[in-house]
Amino acid sequence: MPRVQFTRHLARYFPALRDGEFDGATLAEVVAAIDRAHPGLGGYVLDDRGAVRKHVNVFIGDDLLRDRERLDEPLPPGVTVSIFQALSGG
Amino acid sequence: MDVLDEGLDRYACQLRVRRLGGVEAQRRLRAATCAVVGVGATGGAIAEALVRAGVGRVRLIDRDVVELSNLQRQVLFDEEDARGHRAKAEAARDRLARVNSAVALEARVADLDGQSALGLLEGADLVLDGTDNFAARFVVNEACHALGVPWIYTGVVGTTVHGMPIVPGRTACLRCWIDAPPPPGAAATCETEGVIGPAVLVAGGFAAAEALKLLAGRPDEVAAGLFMVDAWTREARTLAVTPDPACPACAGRREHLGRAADAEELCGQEAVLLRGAPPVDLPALARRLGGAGQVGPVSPALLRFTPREPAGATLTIFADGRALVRGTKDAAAARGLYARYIGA
Repeated sequence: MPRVQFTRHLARYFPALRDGEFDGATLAEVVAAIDRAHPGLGGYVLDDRGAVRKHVNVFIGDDLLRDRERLDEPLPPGVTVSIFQALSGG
Repeated sequence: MDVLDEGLDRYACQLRVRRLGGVEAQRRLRAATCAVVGVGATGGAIAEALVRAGVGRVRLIDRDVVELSNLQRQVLFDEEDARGHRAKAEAARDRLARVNSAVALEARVADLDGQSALGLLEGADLVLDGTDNFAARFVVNEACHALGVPWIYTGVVGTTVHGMPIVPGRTACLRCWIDAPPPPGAAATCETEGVIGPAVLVAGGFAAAEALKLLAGRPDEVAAGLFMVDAWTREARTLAVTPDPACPACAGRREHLGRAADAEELCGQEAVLLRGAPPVDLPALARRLGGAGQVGPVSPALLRFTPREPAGATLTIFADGRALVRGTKDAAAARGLYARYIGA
């Protein structure tokens, strides 16, 4: 089961959100599982077309997801999925 | 003047770090020019580290003035600077001149945008990102491609730090991993989420260390990829970001460079109208701004926000992306306020 790490800033909107395991064999399934556990969070990650939003980054393991529309690739077993966005402040 | 003429006692500790490269590295630092874009929190920490390390020429670029609320994390400024509302670039220059008088310091009180960027960055061997907004970073990214000089991205919010060295033609660039700046209100900012000073120092330390490698002639030791650390939990990761073959910036397309930021001073009013931002999710923005000042009224068409500072400023954000900034006639100051609170 993939382990998912979230940007800390989501805690403001989803106070119960914790890094953890979410069921799913593909990224699309994992995001659906995240949204079931935390309704609305799926809309932070994906746009209306189901693509990863342009300002959101998803890493599969240590590698950046390049194709924001292909979320149906099988995830490697036990992989860590990281969901965050680039930091603006300085 | 050769670095040996100055005497090396000042740099004795870093000369003992063999990985840096000794006297030859010190000579390279002395011959180098760095441009620091934004000399507030992260940029101030970076600039101080570079000046102390003996970089020969440091250009300090900032459009903003010092305020009391800066002092918690902006290490170059003090209460006198805040009382006098001094330009940050000039206050930073004066402070750093007392740190290392052998360094040539250039203060540029200027707004870096698509039209000014090349002129402000020309002649630099390395550009350091101390900005607080993505609009400037996308411009810096294209400008550094155009000039063929490396730059180092840093971002800090809350307790979290991101950083990535970008060497055009060799590493991934900003555009390789971020397709577009976040829409207004979608990005956390230090004003809406807060920031602790130690996180800024981590970011500044990361960037300055990578800068020393690049300037001292050790580019192979630059840590490629995205560096992420939480200064509170001590979690640290480096994620691989490889060059994107479809990256428009790497291919030489200029989508941000050459374009002036779209701002219009309103005749007879102490106000500036900003245009060009994408549509805004006003309810989400209202939730985000709640801790940073007074929000209201909010309608489907607009949101009015009165930040805690500066006194007298108000921002009216329209759903179509326009923003009316009251309390200033200065376009750069208006964009600064917009970046600070809205975050794009």
